[in-house]
Amino acid sequence: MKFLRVNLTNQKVVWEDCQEIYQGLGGRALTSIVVSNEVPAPSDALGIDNKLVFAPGYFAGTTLVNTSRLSVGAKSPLTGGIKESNVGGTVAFSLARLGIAAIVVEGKAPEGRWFLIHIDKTGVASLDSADDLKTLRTYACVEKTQKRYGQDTSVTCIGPAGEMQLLSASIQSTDLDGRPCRAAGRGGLGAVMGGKGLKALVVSTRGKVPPEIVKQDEFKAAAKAYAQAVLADEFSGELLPKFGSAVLVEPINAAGAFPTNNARMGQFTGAEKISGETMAATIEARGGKTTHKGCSQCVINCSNEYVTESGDYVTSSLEYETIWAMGGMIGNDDLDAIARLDFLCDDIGIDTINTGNALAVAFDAGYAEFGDSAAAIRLVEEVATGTDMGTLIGNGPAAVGKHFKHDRVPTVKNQGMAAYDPRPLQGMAVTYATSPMGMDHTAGWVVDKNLEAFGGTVDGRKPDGQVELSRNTQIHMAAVDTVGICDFAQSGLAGEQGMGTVYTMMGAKLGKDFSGDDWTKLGIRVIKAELEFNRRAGFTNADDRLPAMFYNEPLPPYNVVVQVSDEDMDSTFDF
Amino acid sequence: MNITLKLYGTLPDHYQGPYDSSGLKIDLVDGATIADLADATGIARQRIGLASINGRLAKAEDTIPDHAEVKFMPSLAGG
Repeated sequence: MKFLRVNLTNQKVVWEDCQEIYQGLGGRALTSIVVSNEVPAPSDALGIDNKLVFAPGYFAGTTLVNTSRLSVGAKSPLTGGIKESNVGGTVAFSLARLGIAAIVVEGKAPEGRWFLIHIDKTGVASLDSADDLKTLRTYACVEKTQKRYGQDTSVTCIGPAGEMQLLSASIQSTDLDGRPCRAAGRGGLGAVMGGKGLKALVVSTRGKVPPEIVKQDEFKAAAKAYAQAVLADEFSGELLPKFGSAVLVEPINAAGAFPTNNARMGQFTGAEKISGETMAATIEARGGKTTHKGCSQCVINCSNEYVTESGDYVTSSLEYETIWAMGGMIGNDDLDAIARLDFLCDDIGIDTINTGNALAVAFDAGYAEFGDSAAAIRLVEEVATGTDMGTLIGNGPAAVGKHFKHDRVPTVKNQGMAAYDPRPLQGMAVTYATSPMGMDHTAGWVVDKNLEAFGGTVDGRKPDGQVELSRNTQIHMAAVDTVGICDFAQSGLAGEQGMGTVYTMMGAKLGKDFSGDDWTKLGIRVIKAELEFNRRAGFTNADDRLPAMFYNEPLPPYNVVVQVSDEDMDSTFDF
Repeated sequence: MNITLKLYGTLPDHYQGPYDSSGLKIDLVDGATIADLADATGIARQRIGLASINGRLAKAEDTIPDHAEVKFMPSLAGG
């Protein structure tokens, strides 16, 4: 496996052998450890010293299902700390099949110049002019790029928001149908890409380099068992293909943890109108697709294609987080408007979660009424045109709160909350506060373990046991994001051998024994690198706190506040 | 007493009769619990991850009041 280093300052493209310290790593471990080793922590995230790292998960390109995750890492202009955001689609598989462990993007293009990285099916890489792609939205960018390089290319690109270096800018990547609807959304990494003058990464999907696996037969057997467990599981085998992740709307709303009207309430009266069940029925009635394969190697097919009443494509894939961010969080129960907002965010290249938060703060401050979907659509359109208000929205909830002098801003480290209110799910409070990534749900999703109905053993409305639960899950997830198994395919761990299957695959690929302790050490190594970077960047324990609203405002209907003490928060990562 | 039961996820597929999204009108004896209702629908209890009564989380032993809206949801994971 090789590293590709691309310097935008002098336009040099250099191949390197994977250094010893990076052997056996992929995904988040590679992005975070490279960034931690090579980026000066106090540097300007949008400046010449930051580095943008693309790394497929360690299992990408193998026969294991649902391993098409690409980690993207850098110093975040949004949080000021280290960031890893991962995305599905086709790019990770394509890079792995070209024998590429990581692409490290360095420097900064001359003012006004735009470039793209192109890697052909033989693995020849070049830095080509992308001046003709400037200002294009992502769908148009992909269309033009594929005309130039062929349909058999995976395109990962930024839209106008990334070019303008807005703090919620995403990096969009194409799905199996060639639509840039998959997002590395969090942390403003699209702005880092824009700051470097890199418009796109264009990778042939025809690479044929076999993955490096020392014990092929052992790996294949374990991968097969894992896939069978994913398909046998009710959630990943039945619910996700039918309803997508939007199936979470009703239960999270019932748990009183569906942040509504900028997290003033935990239940949304319009939830039924935007639930996964309603979405699936709407799509089905209109002739869209409720079951859709979005990513290479996927056997779950949780994606969908949302269409208009006349059957025209609106967006893919409408997912739980976006339905919440553009729905309950802004008081909007119009599913068509949510779908339109999802498409606009993908096309302009902004994170739906942070943008929903930004709209919610603006509405809460009195800019518009909650539920005003027309205002929401207009504001998101203004992100692309660069009006003052559009720029504020594109810079996220903290920027909006500052502008309106409004202190109900649901962020940690400047990053907006996800679709689980931390008050009735206090394990999420710990994850939100302490993750090196800012307020992020995927860093340590403990919702099921906070709900007795889902087999959880910790009371979500109480602080007891939450730190240990979040810590263990965050360490586990750091390792999962390293091997690049899709979050929804973790059901494979419910198979007969549980985590043993993953340890077997790690050992088979590495050619040495791999145990549960090794898995934990891997996760800790990643988080340590991230915490150390953040400390060098100036973060202290004081940054691991939730906004006052979560400690002071009881959330209806269960009227609870976060009770995890500062001391307990600080013990989460006492290593 | 009469209650309305709404089923989510794939639970309608496991209901013993026809189901539409407006829910089922069900007659129950006074004092019936969530567990009694589950048994009355023919849906195996282990399929029901989460239940609510009038928008509040409910447990198997909770009694259902007259005219309540009850929701049954499947067990979930996520992220």
